[in-house]
Amino acid sequence: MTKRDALLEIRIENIPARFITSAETQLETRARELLAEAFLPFGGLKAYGTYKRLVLHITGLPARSEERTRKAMGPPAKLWKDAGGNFTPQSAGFAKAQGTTPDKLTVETAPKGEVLVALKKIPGRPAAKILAGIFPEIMAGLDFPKTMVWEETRVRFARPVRGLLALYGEKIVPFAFAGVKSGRLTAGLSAKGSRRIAVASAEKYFRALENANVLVRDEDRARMLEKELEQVSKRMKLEVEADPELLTENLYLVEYPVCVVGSYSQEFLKLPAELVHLVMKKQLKFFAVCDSRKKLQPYFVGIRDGVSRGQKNVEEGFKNVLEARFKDAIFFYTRDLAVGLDELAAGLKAVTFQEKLGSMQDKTERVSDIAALLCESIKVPELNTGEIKKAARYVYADLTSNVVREFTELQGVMGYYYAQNAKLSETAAKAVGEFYRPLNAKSPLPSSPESSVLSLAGKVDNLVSDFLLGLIPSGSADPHGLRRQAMGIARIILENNISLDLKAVCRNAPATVPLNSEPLLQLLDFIWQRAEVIFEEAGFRFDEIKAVKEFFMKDGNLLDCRRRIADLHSVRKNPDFDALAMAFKRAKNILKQAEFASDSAPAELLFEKDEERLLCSDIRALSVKLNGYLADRDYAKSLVELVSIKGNLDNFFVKVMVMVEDAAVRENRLKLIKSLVNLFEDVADLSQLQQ
Amino acid sequence: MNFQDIILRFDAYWGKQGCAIVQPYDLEKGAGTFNPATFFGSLTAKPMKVAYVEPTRRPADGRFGENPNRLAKYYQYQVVIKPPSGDIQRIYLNSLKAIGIRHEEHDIRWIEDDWESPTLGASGVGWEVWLDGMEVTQFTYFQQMASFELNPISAEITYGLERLAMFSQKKKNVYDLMWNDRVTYGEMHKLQERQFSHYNFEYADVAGLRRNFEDYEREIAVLIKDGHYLPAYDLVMKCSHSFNLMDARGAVSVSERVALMHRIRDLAKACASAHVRASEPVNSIQ
Repeated sequence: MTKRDALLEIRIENIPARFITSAETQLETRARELLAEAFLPFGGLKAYGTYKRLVLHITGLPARSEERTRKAMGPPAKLWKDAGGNFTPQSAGFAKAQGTTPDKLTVETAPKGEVLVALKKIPGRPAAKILAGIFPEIMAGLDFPKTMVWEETRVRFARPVRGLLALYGEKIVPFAFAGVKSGRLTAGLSAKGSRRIAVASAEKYFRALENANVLVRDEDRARMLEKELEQVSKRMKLEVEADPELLTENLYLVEYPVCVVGSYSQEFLKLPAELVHLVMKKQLKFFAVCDSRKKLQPYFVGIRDGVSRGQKNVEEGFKNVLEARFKDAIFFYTRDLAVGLDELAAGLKAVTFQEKLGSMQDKTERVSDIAALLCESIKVPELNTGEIKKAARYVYADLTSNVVREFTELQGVMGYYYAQNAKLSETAAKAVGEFYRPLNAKSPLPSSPESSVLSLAGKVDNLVSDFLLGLIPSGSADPHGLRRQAMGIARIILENNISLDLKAVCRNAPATVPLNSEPLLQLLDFIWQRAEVIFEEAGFRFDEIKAVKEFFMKDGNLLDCRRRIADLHSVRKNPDFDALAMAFKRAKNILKQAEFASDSAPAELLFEKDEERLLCSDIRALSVKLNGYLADRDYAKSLVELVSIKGNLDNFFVKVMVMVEDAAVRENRLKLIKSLVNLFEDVADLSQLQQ
Repeated sequence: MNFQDIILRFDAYWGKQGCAIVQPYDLEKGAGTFNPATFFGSLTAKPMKVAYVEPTRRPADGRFGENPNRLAKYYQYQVVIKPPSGDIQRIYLNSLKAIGIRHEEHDIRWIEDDWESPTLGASGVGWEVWLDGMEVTQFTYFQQMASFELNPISAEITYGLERLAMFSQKKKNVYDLMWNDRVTYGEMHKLQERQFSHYNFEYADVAGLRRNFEDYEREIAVLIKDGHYLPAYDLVMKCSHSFNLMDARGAVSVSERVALMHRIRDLAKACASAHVRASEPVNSIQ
């Protein structure tokens, strides 16, 4: 049977770029589900999108869906025929209801006993017919961030649907949606007058549109855009910065990317480079241009749709708009510089942070105090606490600046320039500038220890404040981005190897009321959950991570925990380790069942067997060694030592009965086990490990 | 193309499309949408095609005639079509051709921009249209007016005439625009901008405006009760302008702002309800 392609093209009035990729995924998922439900097999399936059309391309569809046999269970088998050998009314009725005759029924064993079974052949249906049902269903099910009505059926869609092309091979797949009937017509590039094009077959769709200057496939436009930008770079002997976000955005603003290169006045390069980039990127979606040393050059590259006539008009228009925006930026920036850093910071008094948490000035003071706590806990002599203190006063100052009010994305970044302008040291200015880092799970961290401390302080204050108010993220609701903040804390600590007691810092953080045990533990648990992600990405197993969690809840030292996990992970490869972990679990269970919790040492006089004595002397020797290792936080050596006890421990469990009648002996043995368990528990909770 | 020629060409073009070329409504308003032709016209099922120039007042946007782009009073050209045909976008693009702007020679972009007027209780879905990067039109499919879900839907096209003229004449300062071959926009409007900026920011009598607002509000209630919703709506526009002036004077606190906007919205809604009742008696009984 020959197989053909099917194609659905929904032509829409300019759909917002941000709607498109999700719509593509939905088209693919829904199509897959519905084709499976219709028993219509296919070779491949892919969705594409531009600002004018959403397209679903299905390849290798047979002309008909598969023939199937449906089985229906009926009355008990004994009711098939009566004593006279005639079909009973029950079996005849059942057969009729199933569209067959009673002689064609068969018998099968069901849970209830033997029953009559009717097999019904369901013939395949023509693919075009099936698609005519599936296509409108897919369309009706699409979810968009916002929808509208525009015609009398009052169907909701992202933007008005103005055309439907639906083909199976050469055949039109007939259906209607929102008052539009499907057909074989599509439209070419808007800039060329949206010329009507009749498409002969689904297989010829992409080529037909390519000839009309429309690259339907996202990847074709991406390739073309990248190639164009490369050529511009080559021609200018400069580098067009191919910002990946901008590439993606531009992909959904045009159907056929054409570059428009222009220049702007050198004077705008006085602006901070980040500001220049943002002005170009945010609204105009222009690419910036730099030289081989990454220094910005006064050129822009804009993307227009499909035609290169009137390039001069477009270039001039783009340039005027860009320069007008730059002029605004210069106006704001020079005003901010004239106002000065102290004055900007003074304005924070009038800015409310959150209703119950005072002004941004109050917040500034809290962050400053937390930074001091952190310095105390970190205790690294090289840390320049004086500069941290100085910088802390200004971390939020730029929030009152004109530039940040206009471009909120530049919070922190602008603070650096204002701090520099106020003659703060480079260390302090950078600490202000990097205060919000890292912005996400992969983006750069603060670059110096001083920046790291200040950034940690800001995040701790956000978390402590919200946990106190009970604003703990649940499900997908996390309006203050607390998960990101906690992730930032974990990354700064782990990637910079900072040893500190987060628990003490959070407990002592200035707040309306001290953070007491319950929210404090919730907060530590919340931070631990982010750290777990990092640990798992590093290749540690979840049970190893779990075995160490209690140390974090107790001491708040994330770095120490990672060391424990890493050491546990490597020593675990020792062939004796699993058995040791089992023995430990057994020891712990015995203590639990006996409800034994005393920490006093066993008495040698009460030992009856050599195995007890051997184990005891092992434990004593181990205890001395472990104390040394643990002081150095050398958990690997500690674990290796613990493994060495395995022989004598096994013998003990084989030869010695713990829960004996004699209370004194029993108690003494429990003490022995407890001392062993204590040793282990200083390293990790091995009972969490799974085989 | 001269400023007045753009208007003449639009009138001719949209007139040919079947639009009634309505004249500006003789009251201050913050947007062309306030024009009764649009406000009442969009509410009912009766088809509508109108186009008009609408002088628009935004007291707080005044800059004493000093800023090349900001004006306290400017001109919108507005087209409202109900129901819009399937090729309304093409019809719009052809209107640009009518003033000499050919799509294939320019970059024309439709940027997502959903419109909302809290004082009219109105909202719509649509775009800003950018011409070589400059915003020249707001294109909106109304979804709600005076808190009514609309059926059928109207398309509203609002051109910024000054922007289009600056684009067409390649001028960077609005006051340098040629109104016709002899007179500039500046000669006609600069003095007005300067004096009105003083009035809007310094002289407007806040207590008087507040009083007026309340007087209008009382009058509206009486008028609506007796079925005279058209004059009532005139007074709603006056309330809205009084509010804008008080706002420009910095006399409206954040919380009062919300409260006043709600009051205007409720007044507008009362006028709209009266109109809907009057034009569709059957519906109002149901």
